[in-house]
Amino acid sequence: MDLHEQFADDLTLYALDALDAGERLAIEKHLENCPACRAEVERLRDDFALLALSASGPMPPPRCRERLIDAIQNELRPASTRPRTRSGWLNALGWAAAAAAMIVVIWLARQNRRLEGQVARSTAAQRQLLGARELATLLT
Amino acid sequence: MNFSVNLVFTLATYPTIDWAEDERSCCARVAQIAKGNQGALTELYDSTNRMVYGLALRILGNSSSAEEVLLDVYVQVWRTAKNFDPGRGRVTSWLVSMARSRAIDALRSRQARGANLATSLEDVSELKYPRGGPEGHSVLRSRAQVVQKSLAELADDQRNAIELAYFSGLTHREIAARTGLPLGTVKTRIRSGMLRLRELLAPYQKRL
Repeated sequence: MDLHEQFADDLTLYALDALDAGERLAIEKHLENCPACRAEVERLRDDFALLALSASGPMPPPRCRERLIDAIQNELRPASTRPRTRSGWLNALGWAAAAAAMIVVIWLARQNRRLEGQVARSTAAQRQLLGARELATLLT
Repeated sequence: MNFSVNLVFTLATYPTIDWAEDERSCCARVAQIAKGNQGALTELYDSTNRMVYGLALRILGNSSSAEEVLLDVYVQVWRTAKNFDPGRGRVTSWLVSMARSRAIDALRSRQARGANLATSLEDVSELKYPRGGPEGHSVLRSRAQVVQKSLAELADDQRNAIELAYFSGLTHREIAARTGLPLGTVKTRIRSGMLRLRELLAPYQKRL
C-alpha cells in the first residue's frame, strides 16, 4: 500500500481531530479518493484508542448502569407513551398561568373602566371650574 | 543499551494482548445490539465501561461530567449499532472515538464559559495512572500498564505533544502556541511519537 508521505503528518493530526477547519477539509478531499490514506487513518485511530487504555481503570459509579438501562427503556417507548410526568406538570402549570393571566386582564380592564370614569368626572369638574372662573372674570 | 534491557524485561513481564478475541466478542455484541438486544448492550457496557469512563475522567477531570459522557456513548451505541461497520475499525476504537469527542466538546464549552478549572483538575495527576481495581479487571490493568510503560519509553517531547493533542483536544496550532514550538516541530513530534508507540506496542499485540 502506498501511503502519501506528504500527507502523513496531517493524517496523524486528522485522526486526532487536531487540524484546523481548512486543513481538515483539504485532507477529507484527499481521503475521498485515496483508499490507502483512509486505511492509514483507521489504523491511526486504532493506535490512538490505545492511549485511551492508558487512562482506563477507574470504575464508574454503579448508578451509571441503572441510568443506562432506564435510558434504553425510554428509547424503546413510543413517543406518545413516554413518561409525561415532567411535561404533565409543565402542562398544568401552563394552564394555571393562562388562567391567572386572564384574571389579571379582566381586573385590569375593570380598573381601566373605573379610572376612565374618574377621568371623565374629573374633566367635567374641571370644565365647570373653568366655566365658573370665566364667568367670575367677566363679572368683575 | 538501556532501552534493550527495558524492552526485554517488559516483554518477559507482560502477556500478549489478544485484541482479536476481545474484538470478536465486542463485534458479536454490537451485531446483537443492532437487533435490539438490550442484554448485549449491558454486556458491552460491562466489558468496556472502565475504558470509556477512564478516558472521559482523564479529559474532564470530574466524575459527574464523565458520567454524562459515559451514558451518552452507550445510548449512542444503542441508536447507531446498525451502522457500525466492522471492516472499518474496531468496536473499542469506535467507543473511544465517541467518548473522546463528547468529552472534548464538554471541555471546550466549559472553557468557553470561563468555568474555573482549578477544582475540576484536582487529582488528574492521580487519575493519570490509575491503580487498583477488582481482580476480574486485572487484564484491563495489565493492558493499561503496557500502554503506560510504552508511553514512558517515548522521548519526553513526543509523549507531551501526543498527550496534549489526545487528552486536551488542542489543535496543533494551539499546542504550538502553548508550548512555544514551531508548528512543523509539533506535527513531527506527534507523528514520530505515534509511530514509535506503534513499534513499542507491536510485540504485545495480536492484530486481527
